[in-house]
Amino acid sequence: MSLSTHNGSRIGGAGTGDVVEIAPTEPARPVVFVVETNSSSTPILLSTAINARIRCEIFENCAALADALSQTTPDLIILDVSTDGTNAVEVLHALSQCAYPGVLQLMSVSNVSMVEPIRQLAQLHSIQVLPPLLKPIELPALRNVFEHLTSTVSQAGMPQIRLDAAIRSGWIQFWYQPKVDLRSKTLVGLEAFVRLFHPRKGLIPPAVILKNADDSSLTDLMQHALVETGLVAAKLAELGLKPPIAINTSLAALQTLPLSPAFRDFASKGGQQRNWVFDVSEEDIAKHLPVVNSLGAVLRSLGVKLAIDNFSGRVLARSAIDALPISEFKISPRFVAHCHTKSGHVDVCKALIDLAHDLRSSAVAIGVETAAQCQALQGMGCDVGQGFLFGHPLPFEQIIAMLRQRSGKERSKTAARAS
Amino acid sequence: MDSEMTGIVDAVAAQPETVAERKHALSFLVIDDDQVQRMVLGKVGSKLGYEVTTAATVEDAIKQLECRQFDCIVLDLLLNGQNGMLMLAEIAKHNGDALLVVTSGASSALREETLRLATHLNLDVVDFPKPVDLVGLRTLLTTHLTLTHPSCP
Repeated sequence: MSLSTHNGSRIGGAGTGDVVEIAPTEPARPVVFVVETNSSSTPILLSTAINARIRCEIFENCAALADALSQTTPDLIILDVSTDGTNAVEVLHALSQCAYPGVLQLMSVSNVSMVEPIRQLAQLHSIQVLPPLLKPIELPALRNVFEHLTSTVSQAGMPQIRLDAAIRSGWIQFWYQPKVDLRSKTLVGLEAFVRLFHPRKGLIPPAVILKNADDSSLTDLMQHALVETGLVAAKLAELGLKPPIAINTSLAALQTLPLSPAFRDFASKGGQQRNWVFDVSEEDIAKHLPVVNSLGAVLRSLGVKLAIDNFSGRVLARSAIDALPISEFKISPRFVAHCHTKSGHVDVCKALIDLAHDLRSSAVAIGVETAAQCQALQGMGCDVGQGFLFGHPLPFEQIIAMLRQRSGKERSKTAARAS
Repeated sequence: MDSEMTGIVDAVAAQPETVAERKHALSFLVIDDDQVQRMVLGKVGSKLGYEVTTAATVEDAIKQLECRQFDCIVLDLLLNGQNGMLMLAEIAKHNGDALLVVTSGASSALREETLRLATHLNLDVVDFPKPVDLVGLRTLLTTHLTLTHPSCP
């Protein structure tokens, strides 16, 4: 299985634009039927469809379309509305006969009066109609239609899974990505990323379950993460490693932390809770400012450390930051991506790093992918880096193997230098 | 006009004029691009006492609708490259109370969808496929006349 992921999706789905693609499972390929009598738009439709990985078939009339509809139900039908509109009306009639469940995209030259009656008829048949594409078709408009279709079809192909059901079914795993000290290049932490393994569909993008998860389910997920990462911390301790493990969560879930059996259990065993860092998004904190002060006091008393995820410095007031026990400012990958090329982004990164240091916290750059970015961040005084340059999120066993391999290399280098 | 159609016009003209003697100013609009059809259908209307107006295009018909009200409108669906369905919204807008008679040699799909949209627009619509059953049309118009104008003899 190969993974292509930006930064992985974390618990709580803070929305960093994370994408997970599964190589063995071919994504659903949308099917588009086009009905156009004069074929004037056929070249642009076909070429754009090929580029968008859409299967596109062209039909000259309603009879040909009706035959195809008996074999395949397309996701989208692009229907040319000519001046007399007769063919378009007949197509609509055929669609109503087969109870077409997809979407209808009308296209026509400008000022074709039949567009409105056709649109009304489609609605009478409960067919979803998109605003007409004007002929000659402009490429950006067509691309928009196809991109939206691809997005819709890929989402529709995903199984509908509730987060709480996935947790109960044991489909949730956590993978870990290293956090590296930019000066010493040593491991200074791990971040846990939620992964969902469906028994039949395989690896599912976490966004599928996280985007609609309620606070209760996210709290359950945090509890699950506490148990799993607690076990991982214990195994790392056996190896002589005590890296803090970051768990991405929400403020609502954090409010339940003192009641968590896992947290209390670890707390009772000598303060191992200090090995956790809870990542909360800047937007989440901004939305819950009224609870920040009271929650901050509770979290401080528990020795909990927080990190502000995807920090941009544009959302939060200084008072909110001061109220919470923030130990890390995780700079948004949006700025990190261009921290070595765009002067505006360089300035933002430097300002955020300085702010973190002013508040006696660490500056963590997330989404570090190239050596050039790493070098620029080092020059700005950034403390920690996280991203593909240092390692993808991996299952715990593979992280251990990677750490052992690196540690072996370091020992070899040291031995070579000594000899 | 071919000889067969001339025969039809003559046959219509030869019908008894019992209803035509009603001298009410009922109005009848025939929208058809075929001159012969306009003449035949107009004759049916005039024999029943309707004041007949004809239109050969969508544009002509809209002008007529904007000028006056009609009690009955006969609409062909294939209007010389235009679709008679376009008239539905205009009829609903200007003359929603008229009896609409759809006459067309168009496909059953087009007729069925036209009736669907007309019904959606709250129009009182009847389908008369071509070739038009003139006797049936006459009966329909007579019934309509009786129902809407019961004081007529």
